[in-house]
Amino acid sequence: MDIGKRISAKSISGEVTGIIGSLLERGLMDGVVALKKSGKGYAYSLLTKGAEMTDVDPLAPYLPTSAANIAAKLSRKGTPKKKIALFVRPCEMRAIVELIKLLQVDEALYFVELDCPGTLTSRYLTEHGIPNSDEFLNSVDKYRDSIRPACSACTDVRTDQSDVAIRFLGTGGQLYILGKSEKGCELVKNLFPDAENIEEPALPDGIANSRKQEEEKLFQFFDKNISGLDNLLNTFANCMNCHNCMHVCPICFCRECFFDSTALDFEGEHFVELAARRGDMRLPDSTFLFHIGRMNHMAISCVGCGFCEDACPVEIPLLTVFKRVGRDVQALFDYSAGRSRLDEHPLKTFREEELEPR
Amino acid sequence: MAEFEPKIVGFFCNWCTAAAADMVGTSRMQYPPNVRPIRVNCTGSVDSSYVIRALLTGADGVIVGGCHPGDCHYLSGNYKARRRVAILKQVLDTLGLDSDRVQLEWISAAEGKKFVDTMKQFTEKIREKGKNPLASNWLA
Repeated sequence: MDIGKRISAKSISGEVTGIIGSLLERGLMDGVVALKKSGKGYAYSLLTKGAEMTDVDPLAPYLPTSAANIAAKLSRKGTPKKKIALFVRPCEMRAIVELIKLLQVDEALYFVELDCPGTLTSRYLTEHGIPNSDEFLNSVDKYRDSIRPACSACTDVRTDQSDVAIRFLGTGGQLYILGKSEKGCELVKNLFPDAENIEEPALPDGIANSRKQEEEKLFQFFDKNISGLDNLLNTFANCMNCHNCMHVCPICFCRECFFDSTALDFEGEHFVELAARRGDMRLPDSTFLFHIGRMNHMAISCVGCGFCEDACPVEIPLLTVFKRVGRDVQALFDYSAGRSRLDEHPLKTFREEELEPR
Repeated sequence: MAEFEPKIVGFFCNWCTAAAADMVGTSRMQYPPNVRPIRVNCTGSVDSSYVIRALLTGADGVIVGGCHPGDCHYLSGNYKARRRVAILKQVLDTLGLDSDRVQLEWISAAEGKKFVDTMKQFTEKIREKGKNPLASNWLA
């Protein structure tokens, strides 16, 4: 049971936008971060009192960046003293949980988690433009083939880590606004004086099952086409070293990345020698080092959001690689990235007796 | 054809394994010349990408040598290294690469004999495995 409010909504998105409007108008929040129409797609916008709300669509089927990056941006050089809420999707919430543990995001921010039916690829954005959320929600089947693989195979459909949760999947047009943390309950009570204890609606089995199946397909693809040296070389053969996957990754927060640093700059002679040792070598070098190295650095916190894959100009199945490596690495420590703010981050702690024999 | 001589990179902690290597030298004990020791201040400072780069650019095996649990000069560096090496090995396993080419050992400054034995064993293990297929890959 959670403190919450149930609303019959004609337009889910309209209702959520209305909630944002009243949060701001009534001074319950000084700022709200939500998606807003921008060109052919959507961008996150920090809305304040009096902001024009017509283009705001918090459930738009497109994420331009992980909201975890925005939360980090708002926290990094000092969190605002004013009350700010971010309307985020579950994958973003999971990344935020990781970044809270890694001291990149301040828990003083408010996080409102929205049910997410999936998002469309950047390719869809450039080719067709992104439809608004009402259009998308009413005809999800039409867009099924353009939904990002990360979303089709997203098995952590909901977290309970946000301050407020907004649920609508499988409720037949009902919208549930639920307080999930102490300050979240407080906010819900202020927003809806008639809020009461209500049951969170269960996630429809259909969604859970189909996503589990999609995930299984990705893992089968991994075993057949990615695992093993020859497959791996083939998988990464067309990487152009743009490092987009790293720049969009919410977990890759280091301000100076080892792989972007001058640590791997050498005299020209070095490359000639390396090449001579093996016949020939690919330039620019360190492609494989970058990917395997990055896995070692962030797979323990990988939430499987798939922004890496969406940002890849040569369509390397990065989500599949990282989701699988992340799952296996996290299993070592019985950890699941984003599951709980209370789970210790495996790289921030240790046990005196563990992992032996090595 | 000459017998395959593995190239082995060792990351040795300044306070224990590197000191053991030093003692081995001054005591005139011998360990295989296949091992190229690199002294580091602590195994906790060995980033996984150093190990991977060694494997990608010519090493047939990498051995990391640190202080026994509880003996770290910086209190907890070796515990962190143990977690990182476990992660590295899991990443290699999942990717279908050979994680046995990476080994973490605890060798104190007093354990010259253990140092020699460990280096011999690891060298032989890698010799049996043969050339590291990663080391000659074009993509590196």
